[in-house]
Amino acid sequence: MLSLRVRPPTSFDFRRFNAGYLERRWRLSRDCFLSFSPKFEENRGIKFGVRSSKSDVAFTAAEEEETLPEELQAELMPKHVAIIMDGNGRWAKNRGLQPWDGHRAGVEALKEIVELSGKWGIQVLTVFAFSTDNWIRPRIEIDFLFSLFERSLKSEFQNLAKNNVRISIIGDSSKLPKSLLRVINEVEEVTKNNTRLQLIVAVGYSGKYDVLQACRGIAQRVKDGEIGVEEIDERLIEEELETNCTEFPYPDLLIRTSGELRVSNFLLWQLAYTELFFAQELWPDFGRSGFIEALTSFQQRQRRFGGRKS
Amino acid sequence: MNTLEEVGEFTQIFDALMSLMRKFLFRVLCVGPIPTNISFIMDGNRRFAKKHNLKGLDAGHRAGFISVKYILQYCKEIGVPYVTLYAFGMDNFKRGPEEVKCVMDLMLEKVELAIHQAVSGNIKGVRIIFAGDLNSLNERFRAAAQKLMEITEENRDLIVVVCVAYSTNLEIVHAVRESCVKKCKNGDGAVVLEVSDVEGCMYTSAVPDPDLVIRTGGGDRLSNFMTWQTSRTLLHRTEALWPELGLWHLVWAILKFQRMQDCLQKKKKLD
Repeated sequence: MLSLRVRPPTSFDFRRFNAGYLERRWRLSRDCFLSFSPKFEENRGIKFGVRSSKSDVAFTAAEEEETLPEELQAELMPKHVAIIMDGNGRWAKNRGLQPWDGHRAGVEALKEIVELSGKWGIQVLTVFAFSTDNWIRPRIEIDFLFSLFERSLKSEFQNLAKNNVRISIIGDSSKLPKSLLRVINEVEEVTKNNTRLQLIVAVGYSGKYDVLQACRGIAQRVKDGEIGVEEIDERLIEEELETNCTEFPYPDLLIRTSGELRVSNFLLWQLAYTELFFAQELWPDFGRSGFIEALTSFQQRQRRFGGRKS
Repeated sequence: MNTLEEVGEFTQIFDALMSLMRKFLFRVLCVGPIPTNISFIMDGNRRFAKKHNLKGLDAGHRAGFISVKYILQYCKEIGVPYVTLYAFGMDNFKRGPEEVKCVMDLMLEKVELAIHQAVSGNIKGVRIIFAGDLNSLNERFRAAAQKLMEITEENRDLIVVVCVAYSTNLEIVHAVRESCVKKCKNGDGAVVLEVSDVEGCMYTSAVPDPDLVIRTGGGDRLSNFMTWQTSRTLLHRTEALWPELGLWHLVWAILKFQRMQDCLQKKKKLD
């Protein structure tokens, strides 16, 4: 029988007290009292917890000020940010925890980034949740990941729907459990008209798989005589890729955490001119400060797309 | 006259000494794993020309070519089997027409020089392959590139892939067209394209995937260069401009590759 209880750390681990961790714990406990929504004015009436009205107002003002940090400029925000959420396993190992605790912490970190993206005007956020290459991980970890994903979707989708977030799932869904597929279809259906932020979760996805499935579709159409071979061009392939579910399929910025300097088969075609940012922190520690650092770095870069900026 | 001879001798002694030191350094480097294919994104030529007030549109690119010769020599001495160079991308045609013409003329001049050297036996053991949509280039360049590829075909010490008029998206389009043509001939059944079919028709199918990509000029992007082939490749960037890239940058990049090799192998098993 598998125990999912968290073992208390046997030695004092001062890495727990890094800024990202503390901030996230504070937010988690704050969220226990407040609903997960930036629109505090509307929800003020239904808040519960020991708070005086004065501190409510002060708190709301602080939340509103948090809209855009001074380091960032609104007109230079990327429209589409892609994230490879790497490092959950190592984060858990460093703390003497089990890998699934790392994945749970990763989900909390993701919630924070989704919230910030919605506030700061990013239109599309794509996250690499599960790659086709991850299928060789232990079965127990894969089952946990899918059940965690299902639970997170069920618990968060009301909030995300309320916050006008559209959820899309891309990837090879043929090997996913049926219960997860049902939840995915329901979530995609309910949120399909939302416009504030599009959250694309890549599950069972890889860049090569995406291009290959697009090419297979095109090859079949050529075989059926619908189109000629000479009509195959970049635009046709783009239309067949799974990222055609969004208006901005090409990420402006790709963030990879945990210090690894690779793309690992994520978004191959779409990464042609994407700015890459490699963060040293592990994903659960990434948080607000890491995100600001990545966005600041992006805003300072000169993008030429092959041409010249004279 | 004496002075010139002495200078000549001194240069020879100095070169021999440098060569010996490099040999020693590379022997130490080769104790660890060496990348099979190193790719270079050669960015920063024009900024170099501006920095050093060089006159002429192609001054930076000429300086870049000198860097290419040195890097290829170092890679050959280290024993790296394949080197890929991103010389000119399809999107670089968006630049000013004078600059594009300048670069094309410079490349043609260097290719013709390489042909002379190959014929006279100066390029020993180096095979040069041109990857990209060569049909979009002018006739003269195409012919010269074809000739150089034929002359150096038998060499095996170092295989250099020069990517001209290249972009991965176009490469994939081209590969899909070719594999469609092949597959659609086979009977009436459903067409099933596999990764191997597409990869077999790519411009860079003759060489293995890069193990290390070095991008100069400080940019942190792939710029449509081998995004298919570099899915598991270590991406290394350096602030140095391409003409400033030297021996130590290369050694540092290889050391970084060696340091990450353990993690890379573990990840390959897990991923």
